Amino acid sequence: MIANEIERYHIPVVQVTSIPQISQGMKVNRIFEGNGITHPFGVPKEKAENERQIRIKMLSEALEMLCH
Amino acid sequence: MAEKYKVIHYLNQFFGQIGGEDSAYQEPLYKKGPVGPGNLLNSQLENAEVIGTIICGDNFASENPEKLVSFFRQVIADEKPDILVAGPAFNSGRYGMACANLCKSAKNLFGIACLAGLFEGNPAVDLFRTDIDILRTKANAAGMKEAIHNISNVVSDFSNGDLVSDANRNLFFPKGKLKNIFDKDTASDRALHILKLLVKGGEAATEIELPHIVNHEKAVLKKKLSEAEIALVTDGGLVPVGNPERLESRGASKFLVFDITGSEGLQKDKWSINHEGYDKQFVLEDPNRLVPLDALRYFEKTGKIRKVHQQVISTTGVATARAVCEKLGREIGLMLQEQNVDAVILTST
Amino acid sequence: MKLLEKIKYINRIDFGDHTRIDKDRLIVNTQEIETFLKTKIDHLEDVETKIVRSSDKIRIFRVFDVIEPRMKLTPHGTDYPGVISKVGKVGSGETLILKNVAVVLIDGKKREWKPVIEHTESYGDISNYASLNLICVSIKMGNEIDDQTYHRSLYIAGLQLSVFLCYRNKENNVDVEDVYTDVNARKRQHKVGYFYQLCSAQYVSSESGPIFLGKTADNFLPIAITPTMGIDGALTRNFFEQGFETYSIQNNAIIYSLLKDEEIDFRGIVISISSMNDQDRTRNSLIAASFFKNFMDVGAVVMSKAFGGASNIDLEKTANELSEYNIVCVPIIQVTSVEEKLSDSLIFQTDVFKHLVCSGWTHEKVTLPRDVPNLFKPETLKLEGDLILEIEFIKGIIDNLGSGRLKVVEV
Repeated sequence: MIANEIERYHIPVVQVTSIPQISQGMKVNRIFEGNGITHPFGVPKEKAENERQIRIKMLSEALEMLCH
Repeated sequence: MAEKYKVIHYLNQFFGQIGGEDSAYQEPLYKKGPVGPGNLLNSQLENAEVIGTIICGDNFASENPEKLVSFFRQVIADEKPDILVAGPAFNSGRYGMACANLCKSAKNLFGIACLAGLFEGNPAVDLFRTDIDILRTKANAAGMKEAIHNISNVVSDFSNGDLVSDANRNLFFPKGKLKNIFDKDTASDRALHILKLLVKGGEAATEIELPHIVNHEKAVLKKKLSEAEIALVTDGGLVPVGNPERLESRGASKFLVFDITGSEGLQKDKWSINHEGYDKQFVLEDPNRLVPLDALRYFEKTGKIRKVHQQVISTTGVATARAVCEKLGREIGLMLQEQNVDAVILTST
Repeated sequence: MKLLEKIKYINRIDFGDHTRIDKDRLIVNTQEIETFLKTKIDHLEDVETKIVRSSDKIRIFRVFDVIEPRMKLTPHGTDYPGVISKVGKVGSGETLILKNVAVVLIDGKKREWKPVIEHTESYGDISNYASLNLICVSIKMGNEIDDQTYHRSLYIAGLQLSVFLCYRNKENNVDVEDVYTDVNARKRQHKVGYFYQLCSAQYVSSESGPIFLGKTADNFLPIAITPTMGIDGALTRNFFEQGFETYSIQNNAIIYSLLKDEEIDFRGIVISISSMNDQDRTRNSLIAASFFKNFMDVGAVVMSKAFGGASNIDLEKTANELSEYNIVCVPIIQVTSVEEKLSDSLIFQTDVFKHLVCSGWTHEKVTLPRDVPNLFKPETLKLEGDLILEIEFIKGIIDNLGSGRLKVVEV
């Protein structure tokens, strides 16, 4: 809902969520699947530096979605 | 034999058989007994009768609502009615507003049970639906017979001061509140009842109709990513330690804005989470797992994006009413537009 | 599968010299109960037992769980297998059930005063617990005991006590016997399954309670079980799951209705938990749908859910899989948010669910009357004004498993 409302102001939004069906049901335009409800941009079982690299990679993909 | 309930009927100049647009400034007048469609209503009523009709021109009513109310007050003093029926006004804006205003006064000032008959698209519906009982009608007088039939059923069942009952609730527009009621059957029996109808190839009613969602026009990034300013927004309940602005942990009524100018990432001892809908421990250990500021800064440094917007926006996305979410979303959108933000990464939990 | 339920109605409860059942009277000795529980639970320092008679007017605070006394007669010693006895077979043989009575567990650790049981006449028609005879138990353990251990111990104590009470039915007489067999079921016309979502994974990060034959909720895959297993002790409650109590699980209204209906061939139950991510959700829905289609061959499925909005999504995903096999689903859901329109308060929006039952709006605020005596009220709760709480915290009214009569309307 928030994503769609922000887009009314011509600002593209990528929603990162672990429940993509909710966003699909709301017809959100750009949905990126997060890595779990409790840590969408996290991978707790990895060491901190690895986790940061994975987060960078995830965010990179999410940012790319803005271009489409 | 018990006395019948006394109904006053309100009509505009046209249905009250005075005239058309030329009579739109007709001052309020009162006639004993039913007029026009009131006759059909009266013939169908049980336990009630239309004792009189107030007729008023739509323009007069629009421009002088207080005079109409004063007139009404006098009629009530003389006739002591139990119920006011206004319209049906179908999709007529001025007539609808006059009906709704009169009903609101009848209810709030005089304590008289009342209803107005209006079409969904009538502007009076959205303005008055939480204040008065509005019966659904079709868009125009082709729906008169059905409207009168429904009104007569509702009025005939009147008792205990309430026109709306569990039995006829579906004829009215909801006021925008939910209510628990007790059915005679348990939920499992109701489910079994529906199931058996379906497996036998029949039809069954549902207790909730699913809504129709409209497609939203896709916003497009108007520049290259490397020229764009990106903002981070979350509904995961991110707050500074201590939650000084008191963001709610559920049913958020607002959003918060945090300045992160100069921050390389979100440091764990500065941030907390106030959100009932998920286990916070992982995000508390590292808030960048919710709002990836450290990663976005990396892309600012490497030039993949031009700039990280200096504010992070946070609200709580659990048990928050859709209407509130929409309002918050719009306020956030407007604010970001005014600040020339090009795109948003929104993290939800 | 054949299960014989032997039912005894308890019409009165008293304190006495020796815990036993004397005709229709349950007599309870608190010292005996404390001694018994201390043999079953380590580090138990103190047990407080209060009885509430069916006609008493009282408000019970800090309700942790409600348990109906049930005991396996045959096979003997398989009560709540994996939890308080060794893993063994349940869902067949004979089970003794004491009706009109329940064990209420009081949470002595959490500061919260909710949930309550409103044990008064005015709630008699609407709460499952308002007219029961109750044995309320609060336990005390050392201060060094962490919350998880405390709550697990409290739950075990409740299960143990409920079996102990049945065990004391030495006269072995019962009032009613009910038989459930699949031989009878197979003769009926319409094949139906039940999708039973036991708990939500949203809160399972620390150790969760046992849910199936002693197995906990983490890493749980959907499992197919027979209908009578569902009501005979195989399923226990993930302690923190809201929306139903152990009593509701034991008396699952959906299972009993399906078992008793003369037109329904109740083929089986798939138990599942709601997931935290899309991959788990997809996996679970595929497994569940396969059970219903390929092994149970049903034409329709009733669904119930765990607490919370995200749980709806797993139901929806399973229903979508089932719809590809033309298997129709009827879910029982609750409204948890404060939307204006009923349809807006549902978190799923595909049109797979054309027929829904709504068993209550959890957030409706209720004002409790002032003149009701208190039991186990925490000292920290000051009773100056009215007590107002959401209806979900008055136990026995909203039941995710279908026993309540609530319905939600837009007004």
